[in-house]
Amino acid sequence: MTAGSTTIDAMWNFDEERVDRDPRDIARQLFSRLTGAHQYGNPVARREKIDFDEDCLPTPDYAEPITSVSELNYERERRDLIKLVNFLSEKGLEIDTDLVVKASSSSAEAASALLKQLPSKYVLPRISPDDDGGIAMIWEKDEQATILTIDGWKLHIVENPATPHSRHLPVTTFDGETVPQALEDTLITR
Amino acid sequence: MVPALAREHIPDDDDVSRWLFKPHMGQNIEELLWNRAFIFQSEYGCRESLVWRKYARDDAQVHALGCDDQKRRRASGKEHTYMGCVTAKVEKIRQYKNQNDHGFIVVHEPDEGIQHAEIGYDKSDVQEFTKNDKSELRYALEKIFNRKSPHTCPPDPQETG
Repeated sequence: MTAGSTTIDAMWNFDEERVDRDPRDIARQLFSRLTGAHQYGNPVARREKIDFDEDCLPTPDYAEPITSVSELNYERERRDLIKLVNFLSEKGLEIDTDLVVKASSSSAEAASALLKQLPSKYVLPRISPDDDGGIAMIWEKDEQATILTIDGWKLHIVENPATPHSRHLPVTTFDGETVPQALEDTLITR
Repeated sequence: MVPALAREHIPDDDDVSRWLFKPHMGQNIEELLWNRAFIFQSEYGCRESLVWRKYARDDAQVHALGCDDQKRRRASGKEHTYMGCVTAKVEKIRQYKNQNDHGFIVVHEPDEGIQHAEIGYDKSDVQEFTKNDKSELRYALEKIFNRKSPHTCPPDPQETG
């Protein structure tokens, strides 16, 4: 027996618990053992009896422990936005019968990193593919809006677009680790 | 041979509409998409199609054309859903300029039908046209096309079998 199969056997070593269990519970338990992600979301979800996909949990490298339902939902949406970014990069958005708009891999990588690093005090954006392989994000609430176009690792930011107070910020390079202060200054808090 | 339709001038007082389609993406991520009405892809010459309301006066006529387009898309395997249209006065579109003096043109392009018009960028001769200009202009159109008429196409007997 190889070391790998021993690990897998150990993962599945809960035969006595497995009787009459929902297969989804078994999958969740396996996922939790593999990733350790259960420590972030399960207590709240269990307490509130929320049926959720383990995959919506934040990865430990950027997440704070979740202590409320609103935080769980926020992190679930953050995770879904990252899924959407990956979708736009891998499959693209079909905008007509003969045209698919795809995000470039570097734009998608930058967009995912930015979403992961976005402090949770800000509302989450809506996302669209942009022409030329970019990804556009919009933060919009009441009369306030910010549009970010991610082109590779370059960030193009417009604050208050299409208003008399419109401001085009100088192009910024994202280092993949810290959301630029210039962008944070334009974002809408929750 | 059918003679080409003559291109007409679209007066400022006329209305134009834009169809809205929702792509099928699955995975519960559709609602997170900023489903923009205008993208101005370079593959399409940075132009987008419009319906000139001179030739489709009622919303129902615009929707009938939209349903036909949904059928065309689905026949080619695209799970697109026609959601309705948004409408604006041509004058409002032509009047809009952003801080760098970029705006739009609206022209009649009847090759795809007498009602077919197109909108494109009208770039300043002086100022550079940046990514921020593009995103601001597209956002401005979402505000200018502010008369919404939602629609659900009747089921296609060929699809429902």
